Amino acid sequence: MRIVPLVKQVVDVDQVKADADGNIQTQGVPFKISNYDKNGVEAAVRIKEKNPGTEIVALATGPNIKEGVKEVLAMGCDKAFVINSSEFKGSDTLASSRVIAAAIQKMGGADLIIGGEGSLDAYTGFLGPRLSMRLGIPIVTYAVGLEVQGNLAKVRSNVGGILEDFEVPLPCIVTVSEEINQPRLPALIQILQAGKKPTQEWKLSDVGLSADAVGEAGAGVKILKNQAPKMERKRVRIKGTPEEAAEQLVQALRKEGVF
Amino acid sequence: MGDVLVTAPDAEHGYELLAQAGPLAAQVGGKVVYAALGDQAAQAKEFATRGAHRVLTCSDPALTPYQTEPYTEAYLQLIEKVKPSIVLIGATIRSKDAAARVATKLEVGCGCEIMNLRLDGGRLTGERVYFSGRSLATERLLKDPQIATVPARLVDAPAPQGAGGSVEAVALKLTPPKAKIVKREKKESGSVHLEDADIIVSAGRGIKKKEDLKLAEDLAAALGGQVGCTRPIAADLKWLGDAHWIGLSGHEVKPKAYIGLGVSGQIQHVAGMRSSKIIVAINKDEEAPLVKISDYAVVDDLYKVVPALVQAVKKARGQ
Ligand SMILES: Cc1cc2nc3c(=O)[nH]c(=O)nc-3n(C[C@H](O)[C@H](O)[C@H](O)COP(=O)(O)OP(=O)(O)OC[C@H]3O[C@@H](n4cnc5c(N)ncnc54)[C@H](O)[C@@H]3O)c2cc1C
Repeated sequence: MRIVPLVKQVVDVDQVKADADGNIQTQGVPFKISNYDKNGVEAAVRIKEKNPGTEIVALATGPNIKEGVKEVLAMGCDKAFVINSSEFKGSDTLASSRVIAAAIQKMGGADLIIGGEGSLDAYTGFLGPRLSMRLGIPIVTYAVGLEVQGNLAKVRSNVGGILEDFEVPLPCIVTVSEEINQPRLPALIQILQAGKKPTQEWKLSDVGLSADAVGEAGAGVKILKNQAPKMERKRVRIKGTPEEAAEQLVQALRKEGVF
Repeated sequence: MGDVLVTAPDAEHGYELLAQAGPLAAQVGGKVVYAALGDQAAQAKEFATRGAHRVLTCSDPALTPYQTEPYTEAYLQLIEKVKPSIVLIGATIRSKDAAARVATKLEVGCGCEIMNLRLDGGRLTGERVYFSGRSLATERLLKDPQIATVPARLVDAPAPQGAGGSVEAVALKLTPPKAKIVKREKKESGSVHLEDADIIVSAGRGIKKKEDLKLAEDLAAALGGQVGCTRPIAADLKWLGDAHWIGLSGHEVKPKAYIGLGVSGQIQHVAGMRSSKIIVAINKDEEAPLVKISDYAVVDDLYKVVPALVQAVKKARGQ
């Protein structure tokens, strides 16, 4: 069985800041592997532990992905294909799903593709469903449980208060929520070995795509601007003893018509 | 030119989308067409009197419960039939999957949980949460049909009016899904419906022990509100169920008043409550982000302030 975890390197969203005009600046912000993708890698490694003979091939994209992919190789992926995302900058999921689908076909397909429920930066959750359409295979999203038995993936998905248990024939795609597991922290030895695991870098042309299939030319959605949300609040500080503060707060809430 | 096709997994959500579709249809010179699928087929008139010029129904059992594969087929066939220029789909965890799949088949973009929908430069445009809530992106749909998923509770549902538009049953060709649901189980959420609460008292890590949640419960009871919480309280400590969890990965709420008790106000939490009418922070740290985005802040120990507040509220309400 071949499992392909999808791994995206994103800007560390905790470190993006708005400039004086409220425009979000990402320049100079360090990259990291989108956290849900690590849950996906962990899920893959756990399946491999129960199913000897499984091969885990990470498919990773990002601006500095040759370096970044080592983290998931250390977690237990056997090898990786990486595509530098500067080649398809400006892509939405319409365009980036072309790249990922083409890469999966180029590597000879996968029995199980695992992604995160969304990426930390854009968090659409659209890539998995789009891939499922392009590859013509079923998908279950927001998995909180995942096992493989024979030719079936058994997936538990949490859809806001309802748990759905699925049986899905392989090949299929599953995207995972962070409740599914706790991604392992690789030991030093695994980190050192990761550098020696086979990693192949592909260009867009290697997967048979031309530049106009991706980036802004290939996208269906354009981001016009990205701005810090405005929060205009009264910012009244209520002072005094707890009793005085409580009394003032009650008066304020009454004036606001809260009760 | 073209119609606006509207559909949502939940009827109430559908009404709200009809309110948003009306002005768009008027601008593009088309009609509002609502697709009432599955259980909703029986309520077709409800949509017709709330702004749909035309309601298409299909009660095929394959459409209940909501599953990605049959709904992908249904949406594609409806788009083929209506030939809309705009498609609005009520955003839920599952419908977003189907919407993205439909958009892939048609090789077009898909708007994700778009707010403030409008036509700008003749194209469907709106805002969405980006960078884990740190920013709002303004996005534009570049290709036709312009498909967007739209969150619930952005606007009020319109009241029924007049005789309403036409209703027409359509036959859809649906194949059994490959991903089979073998079990479906409702998780216990009790009587909590945060989205409906006028007042939410939200418990954060400033509350030190599970027993101390009583502080939040007492305050909520005195105010006639409900108890919400941050992710660590629900997901890590499991002191409260998922139904109470507010934020990017939890529930999005906009009560008349949100009162945070020992809530730091990290961006992922704020993403779920920033539209609250009044925000109150009770936090001992004046540098806490929630204090900075609050209307009223008491910077003190919640263990001292909350009991006093419960008394003051009770007194004020004559309890
Ligand atoms: C991808 C992602 C998604 C996330 N989604 C969500 C989400 O949906 N919802 C969510 O809530 N979080 C979410 N988080 C987590 C979020 O980043 C914060 O970690 C979390 O909201 C913090 O919870 P808290 O305010 O309860 O705890 P803390 O951040 O620990 O804050 C506790 C606060 O209590 C105050 N305090 C302590 N003692 C007292 C006292 N005696 N009296 C008064 N004040 C006191 C402290 O000053 C502090 O401000 C997400 C994180 C990630 C990475």
